[in-house]
Amino acid sequence: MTNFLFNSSLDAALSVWAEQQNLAPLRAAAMREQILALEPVSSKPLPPEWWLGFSAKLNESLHQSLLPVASTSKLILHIPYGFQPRAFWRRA
Amino acid sequence: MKHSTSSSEECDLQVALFDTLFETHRRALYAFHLGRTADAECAADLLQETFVRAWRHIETLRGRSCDEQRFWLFRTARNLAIDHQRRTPQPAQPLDEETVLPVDNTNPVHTVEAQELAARVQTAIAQLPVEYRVVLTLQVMGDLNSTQIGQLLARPSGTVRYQINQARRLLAQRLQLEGEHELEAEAK
Repeated sequence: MTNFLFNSSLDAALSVWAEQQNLAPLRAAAMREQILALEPVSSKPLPPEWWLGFSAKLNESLHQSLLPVASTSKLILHIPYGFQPRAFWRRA
Repeated sequence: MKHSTSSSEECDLQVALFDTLFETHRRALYAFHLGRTADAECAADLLQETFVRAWRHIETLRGRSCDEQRFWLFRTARNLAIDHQRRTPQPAQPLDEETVLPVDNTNPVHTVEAQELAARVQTAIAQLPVEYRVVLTLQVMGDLNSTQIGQLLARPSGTVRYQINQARRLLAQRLQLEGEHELEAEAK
């Protein structure tokens, strides 16, 4: 049995653990794509079609949570400019 | 036309900076979030959130030195981790061995044995106090020394060294104890 009380054994175990952390999917390009898909590039107010798309997604995700649609439209009216709906997209 | 070209160049510079920041700091930031949350999926989410913030502030970051950029990223990561903790106040659950991190099966080092060992280590790390867990993951996964960790966490490097030693001692004891229990169980 490995004796983890020896520093070398513990170091080896920690190395194996660190190697098993799969960071391969976390690439800069993929991250940028995700961000750009979620964030409008322009700093101008978001266009109506963007909000329509967001509204549809939000509706869909809220439907899945069995929340009434009426509360969805109220919610959208209260969404401040700059709010990023990442959480909703990810859940949907 | 000239304006359009310069905008495009501007955008290229921003993308280049973002890529550099990502490649330079992603491992250490992931290690930090993993240490804070003890949850691989959550750590990946928080890492993404950290870089979303970086992208939003890419212009601010462009005018800063490498050290300032690193501190900005870690300050943002810490704030996000604190927000996350407030939203989910329950203590981090140790990972189940079955649901441990995804692995890259194309790498020969990822044998079943290695996966089992990694799962055991992961479970033992998740049971460490959060302060110890963060410094240990930053050292092991983030490849940072105690001085660098101390700078990032605003702690004296001596304190970081003490915490790393304590983390390693506790980890070794847990792994050893677990191994002995397994042997006893097999003997029965």
